[in-house]
Amino acid sequence: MNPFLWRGPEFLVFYGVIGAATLLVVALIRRVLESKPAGLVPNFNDPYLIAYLRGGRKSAVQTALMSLSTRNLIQVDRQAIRPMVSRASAQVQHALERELIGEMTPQVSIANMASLGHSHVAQNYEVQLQEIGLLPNDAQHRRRKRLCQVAAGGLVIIAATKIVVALITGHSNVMFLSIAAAASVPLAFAACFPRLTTAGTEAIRNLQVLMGGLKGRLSRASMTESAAQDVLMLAAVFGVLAVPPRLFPARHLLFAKASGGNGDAGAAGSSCGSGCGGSCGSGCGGCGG
Amino acid sequence: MPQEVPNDRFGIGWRPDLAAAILRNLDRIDVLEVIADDYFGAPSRIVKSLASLSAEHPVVLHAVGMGMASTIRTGRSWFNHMARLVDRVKPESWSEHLAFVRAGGVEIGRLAAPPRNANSLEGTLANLEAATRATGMRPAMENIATLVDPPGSSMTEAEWLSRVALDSGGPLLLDLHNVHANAVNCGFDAMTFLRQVPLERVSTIHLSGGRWIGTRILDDHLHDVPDPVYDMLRFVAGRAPRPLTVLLERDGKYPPIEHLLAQLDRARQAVMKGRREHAGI
Amino acid sequence: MSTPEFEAFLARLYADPRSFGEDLRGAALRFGLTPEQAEAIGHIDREALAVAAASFERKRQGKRGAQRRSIVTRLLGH
Repeated sequence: MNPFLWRGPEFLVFYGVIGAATLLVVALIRRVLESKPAGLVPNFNDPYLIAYLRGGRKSAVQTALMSLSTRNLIQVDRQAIRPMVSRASAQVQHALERELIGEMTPQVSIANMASLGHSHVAQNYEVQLQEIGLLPNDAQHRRRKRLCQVAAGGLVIIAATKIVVALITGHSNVMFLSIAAAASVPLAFAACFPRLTTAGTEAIRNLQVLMGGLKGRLSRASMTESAAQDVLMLAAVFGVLAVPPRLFPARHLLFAKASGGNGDAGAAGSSCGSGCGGSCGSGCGGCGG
Repeated sequence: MPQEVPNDRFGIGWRPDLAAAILRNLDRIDVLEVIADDYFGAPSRIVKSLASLSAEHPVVLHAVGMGMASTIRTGRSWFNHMARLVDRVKPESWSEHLAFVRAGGVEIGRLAAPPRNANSLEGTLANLEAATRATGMRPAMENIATLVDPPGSSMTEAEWLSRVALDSGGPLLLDLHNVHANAVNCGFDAMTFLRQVPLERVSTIHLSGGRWIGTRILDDHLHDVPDPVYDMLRFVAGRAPRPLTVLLERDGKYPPIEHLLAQLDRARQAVMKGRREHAGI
Repeated sequence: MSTPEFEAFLARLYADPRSFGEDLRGAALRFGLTPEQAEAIGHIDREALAVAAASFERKRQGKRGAQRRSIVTRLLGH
C-alpha cells in the first residue's frame, strides 16, 4: 500500500501522524541527550543566576530591578527610574545590580527599560549555565541543528513527493498539504530548540516545587530583612509578578504591561509548585501526648 | 593506614516555609531531614524535586505515621510507601518514632507513648524487622515525649529504649528535648536516664523546644532549644561514637533563619566541648 | 500486659477521655480488658490525660485543616 497514492484527505491524516511522531521522536532524542542526573540550580546565593536560567537576561534584569526597588536603591515613577545610590555603594551587593545602577545613572525612562543589562554579567551567566549543562552549549546547538534539519527536511520531502505525485496524476488541490509542509518547519524548530536543555527545565521545575510554599507565606509576611531575601528568591524562581504588590509597591510602575498570570512581566507565566503532597510541611509536630 | 573518622554533622528539618532560607544557607547546614509522610503518594514531580535535593545535599528521611511501637503489626502499605520513597530519593538513612498512633480503628492524632512491657517490645521488634526488610535499610528509632506515663508499663523508659536498641541491633535517634520533657513530666532525672541508655548506639540526635503547660512540658517544636538540652547534648557527645548527626527540629513560629542557624552553631559548640571533655583535652 | 485490645482502649481514651466518665477502671472492664489491664488504666494520671488529649485534638484539627487547605490549593490549581 503506497501512501503517496492515497487520496488527499487520507494522506493528510497520514502526514499528520508522521509529523507528530517525528516531532515526538525528536523531542525524546533531545531529552535523552540533554539530560543529566536530576539536580538543582547551583549557587542559591545568586538569585539572578536562577532568574537568568528561568527567563534569560530579561528575567534577571527584572528581578534585579525588583530587588533594587524594594530596597529603596532606585526611585521609580511613571516616567523614569533613578538610582538613589552610586554603583560603588556598599548597599549594592551584586555585580548585576552594579551594572544596572551604572546604566541607569542619572536616569533611564521606563520605556527604555528593555535596553538594560546587555552586559558581561548576563553573558557570564549564559556561559556558566552552558558549562553545567542547563543551557545548550555549542556542541548541543550543532546537534539540535542537525536534528532539526533531518526532521524538517524529512517532513518537507515527504510532502513535496506527494505534491509532485498529486500534480502528475492531475490533482491540483495541494493547498492544505502545502500549508502542513510549511508548518512542519517551525514546529520542528520548536521541538529542537527550546531555550533550556532538559536538565535546565527540570532544574527550574524542581526549584519551583521546592519553593512552592514561599508565595503563600510571603502573602502574609511584612518586609523584614529576611523576608526581603525570600522575596528576591520568589521573584527569581517564579518571576516578578509572583511578588505580592504589598511587598513590591513599584510593581505596577515598572511592569505595567503585566501578563495575567505568574512569571515575568510581559512573558508567559511559569508554573508554581505546590511544595509537597498531602498535608504537608507540618513536620512531626512534636510528641508530648 | 587508619581510616579517618567522619565528622559530626549538624542539620535542620526541611520545611517548605523555610525552603528558600535553607537553600541560601546550605553551606552552614550539613544535612537536611525531610518528613517522609509528606511524600507518600505525592505526585511524581514533587518526589522528583525531593530527589533533586537529595542529589545535591545529604538528606535523611523521618517518618511519623507508622506507629511501630505496638503489639499491632504496622500496615504493609506504610513500609511500601517508604520503600518506594527510599528507592527514588536515595536518602542516607531513615528514622521513625517509638510510638503508637492508632489502634482499634482510632487515629490518636499524635505520637503516643506505648506501654513499655515485653509484649510491646516484641511487637516493636517485629515491626522494625518488617520495616528493614521492606526498605533495605534499618531505621533509627526515636524516643518520644509524653505527658502521660503510659499505663501497663513494667519497664522504665530507659530500660525499654535500651532493649529496643540492643535487641534490634539498630541505631537510636535520641531526642534530647523528649528526654528533658519526660524527665519533668514523669519525674526522673534526665542525666541518670542518659547514663542508662546505650549511647554507643546513638547515631542521630534531635534538638527542639516546647512550652510549659502548668508543671508539664509539651514538646511542640515551636520554641527554641532550652539550655538543659544543650547540656545533655554535651554529655551525650562525650560518649556517643562519631559521627553524630545532630538535627534541629522546628515546625512553626519560624524565626529568621539566622536565629535557627545560631542554635545549630551552639549545638556544634556543645558537641565539640563534649568530645574534648571526654578525650581529656 | 499490652495487647491490641489494650492499645485500642488507650487510643479511644487518648482521643476522648471525657467520654469515659470518672470510672476508667469500670470502662476498661466493660470494653473487655482484663482486670489487670483495667487496674493499670485506673491508675492513669487524669490531669495529664486531659492535657494530652487536648494536645492530640489540636493536632488532629491541624491535620484536618492542612488536608482541607491542600485540597483547596489543588482545586484552585496553585
